[in-house]
Amino acid sequence: MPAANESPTSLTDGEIIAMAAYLQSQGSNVTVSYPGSVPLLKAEEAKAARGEKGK
Amino acid sequence: MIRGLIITVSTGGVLFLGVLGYTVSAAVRVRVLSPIQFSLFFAAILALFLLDFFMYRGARIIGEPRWGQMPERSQYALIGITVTFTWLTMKTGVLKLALIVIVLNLAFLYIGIEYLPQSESRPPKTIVLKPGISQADLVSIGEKIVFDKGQCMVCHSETPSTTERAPAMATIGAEIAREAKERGITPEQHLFESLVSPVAYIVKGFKT
Repeated sequence: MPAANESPTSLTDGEIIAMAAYLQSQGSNVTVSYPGSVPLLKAEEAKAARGEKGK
Repeated sequence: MIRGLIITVSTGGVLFLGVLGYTVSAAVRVRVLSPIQFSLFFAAILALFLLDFFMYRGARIIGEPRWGQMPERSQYALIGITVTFTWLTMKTGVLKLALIVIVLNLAFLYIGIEYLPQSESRPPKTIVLKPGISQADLVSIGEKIVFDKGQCMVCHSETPSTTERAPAMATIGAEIAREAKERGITPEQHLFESLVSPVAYIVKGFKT
């Protein structure tokens, strides 16, 4: 799957957080908020740009 | 790919037989080649219709058809059909019939442009969120993005199936919470990482 913040979808931070909220709502509690979750999203985007792998 | 193949084969066939028609006698051109050309044309239309019918059967409707609007490429295609039909008819040497075909095709072109519903590819609009938006509104906007602009359903299915390429949407929130717990990170972190760096963590049972 392509990264949501890159081509072809190129979603904005707000759109990614909205999408995350919908995904959480499918069987779990929604804990993301806008703009409260922007710093965490930015941090993950920076990690992705550096090419860091998850654990 | 199948659509492209049908269009390429039918167009190539019509053009090839059309050029071939100039090298054979009029009798062969009219009685043999022209019927094959028309048959190819209508077979392609029928095949594309059947393909669309089965592909889009039961598909989720994400927008209303826009009546009276047509992309430029569709207009060129319609003009191409008009020219092709006129050319094929002219080859029979029946000028009168050619004029009738031109008039009929112009009428067809007008109906196609003015009355047939068309889908037009335009860049999706950026959704701007107001700071402090409620979670219910956030979820609602997120749903629209997932099913439209985000193109998520190209790989995800709504309910679990054996052929899915990515986790099913219906239970994805619970899966995210469970995986985050296993990884010892927060669900938000796991979720954002999956969205901006999809290859960082591959869900068990899936390849990408």
